[in-house]
Amino acid sequence: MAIITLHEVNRIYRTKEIETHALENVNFSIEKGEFVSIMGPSGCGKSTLLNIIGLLDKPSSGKVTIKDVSSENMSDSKLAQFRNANLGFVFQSFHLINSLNVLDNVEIPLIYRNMKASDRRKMAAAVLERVGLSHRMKHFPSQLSGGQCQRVAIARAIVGNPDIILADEPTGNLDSRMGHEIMEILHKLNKEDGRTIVMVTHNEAQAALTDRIIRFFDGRQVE
Amino acid sequence: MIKIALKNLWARRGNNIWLAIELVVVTIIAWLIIDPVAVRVYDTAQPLGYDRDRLVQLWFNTYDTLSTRYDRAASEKDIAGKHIADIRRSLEKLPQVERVTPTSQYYSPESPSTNLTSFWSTDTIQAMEGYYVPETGFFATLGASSVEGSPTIAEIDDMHLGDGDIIVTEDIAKHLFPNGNAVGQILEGRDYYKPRRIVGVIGNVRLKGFTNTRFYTFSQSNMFPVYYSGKVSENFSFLARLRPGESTEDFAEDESIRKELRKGNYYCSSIKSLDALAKEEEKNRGVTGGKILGTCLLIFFMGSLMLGVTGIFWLQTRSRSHEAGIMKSFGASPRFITATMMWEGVLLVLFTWAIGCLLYLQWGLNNGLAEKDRLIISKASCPPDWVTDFPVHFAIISAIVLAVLLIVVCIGIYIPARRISRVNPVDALRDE
Repeated sequence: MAIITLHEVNRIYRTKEIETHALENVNFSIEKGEFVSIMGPSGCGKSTLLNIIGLLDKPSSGKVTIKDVSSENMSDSKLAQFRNANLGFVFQSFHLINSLNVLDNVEIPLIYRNMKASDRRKMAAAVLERVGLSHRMKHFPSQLSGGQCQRVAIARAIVGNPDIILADEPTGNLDSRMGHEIMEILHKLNKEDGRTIVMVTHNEAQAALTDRIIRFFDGRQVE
Repeated sequence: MIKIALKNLWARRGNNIWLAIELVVVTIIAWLIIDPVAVRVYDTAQPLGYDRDRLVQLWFNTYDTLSTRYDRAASEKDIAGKHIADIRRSLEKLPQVERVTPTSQYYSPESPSTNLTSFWSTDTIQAMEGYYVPETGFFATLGASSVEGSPTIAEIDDMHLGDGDIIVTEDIAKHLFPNGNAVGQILEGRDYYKPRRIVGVIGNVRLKGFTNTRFYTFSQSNMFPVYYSGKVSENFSFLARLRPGESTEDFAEDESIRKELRKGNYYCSSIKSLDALAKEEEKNRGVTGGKILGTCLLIFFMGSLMLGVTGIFWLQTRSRSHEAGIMKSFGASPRFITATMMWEGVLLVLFTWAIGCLLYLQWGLNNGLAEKDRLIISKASCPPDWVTDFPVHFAIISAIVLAVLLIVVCIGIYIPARRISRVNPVDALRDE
């Protein structure tokens, strides 16, 4: 059963002088529980695609359906609610809030669900335990290594129990050892929890270990 | 949401401590400015209690004895007295005029005289003394209001006053006799002042409009139209109440009226509206100029200060666009982002305002809060109200300061917060 479907999706960036087709007639679907890599040279539209799948950006035309729900005509608030319930993001630059400690960062998705503070803390502590960072809960992002920051980001992405995780070059800023650790965690989430993972990557070796690779070139799907 | 805002404030305490210190200082400065301004605005906004905008004063003099118009025969007491009465009748017959009363030459509602007398009964107060000619409709001409429990204005105007009888304003009656009727009460005077008997109470008036509210008493004037020595007045004045809709300025400038009001050796030397008299007095005392300059400086300073506070919060909020992008990507709605930031500002203001007010309270307890502008009049001449009640005064001004701070800070947060909450998360995250 397809959990993500893109149908004739286009994304065009228009300025006064030029028009850039970041994505052109993209059509594919991703099954529930699949671990999919998206690959291509820089500027081919991979991150744009991920942002559209993650409902952070809207396509210029075409349809995006996630869990049988179309994102067309959804208001900002509805999109935010849907993201909170169904999607988790892992960014290349981690995007942690530096003024909050690890536990507070991980709690962020739960704040928008109107949960009790004590319940939030419990859930956040549990996912931190899972990614092996329970001893760093009170530390701040500036006190962590790159790999630890990315593990916090993964914890934040899964704390709300989303069915889909979107990872934009999660190992891009890490060395090979830390990158390997992160990939292990992602595979665990996929195999043990059955979460659907869509990962943008430049790393062929990492992509080869996923269920499927979708290749892009100049905004068009080539494979 | 308040708990989240508190948590965010605490998490950013390194940055927020400086903001907090600034807000405490701003609170104190706001107190220093708003307190005297609020007291002054309140005081000058008090109703006049009489119809100043319908009153004109007319002064009459006699021709010089060497003047060709001078008539020796007309200077005889009976004839001169009849001429004064004729002038009054002519004035009353003017179509613009509703009624007329003679006033003491040296006292009019807007003259600068500042006679003070002291009374005590249960308390010591000082009242400004006014004089009027009884049985001439003075209070009705003035437009004063009646007070329950006291003879009406019409009855007071018809009263023949004995020696020592006075009319007092409502403030005096309530202050000295809060539980009973002031009419009939005797007020002991200090030093050489004779005891006075209250025979009537009128509604509060604010004569000499540029000054603040006062205690007032009215006694009979023996200076119209005959001096104690028996000589007829050479100079006198009337107070005229114009009909509704008539312009006091037009009346004062009408030369034909001045020409008409002439009899025997008497001629009308000057007509002025009481509004114009009040403005003249303000100007003479430098009140107007001082007021305008002071107000402009205060507005400028306060405006600059508040703009500065708004600006700091604006910049700080804008710098959180990346954070807003993260919040949005994990499910925060634009409204939630804006509301959280607003609550952070409100909580910070509440906390720092409380500290600022507590600090100012220490100063206020030692040095007192703003007082009404007394000019040369003493504190005891001002009726008590919230200005003189320390706890109420402190609470009111604290509330005003809080309102000002909240408005300023909320503007500084709301506009940029609303903007960043609506930015595409992709663009916001790119800002890092």
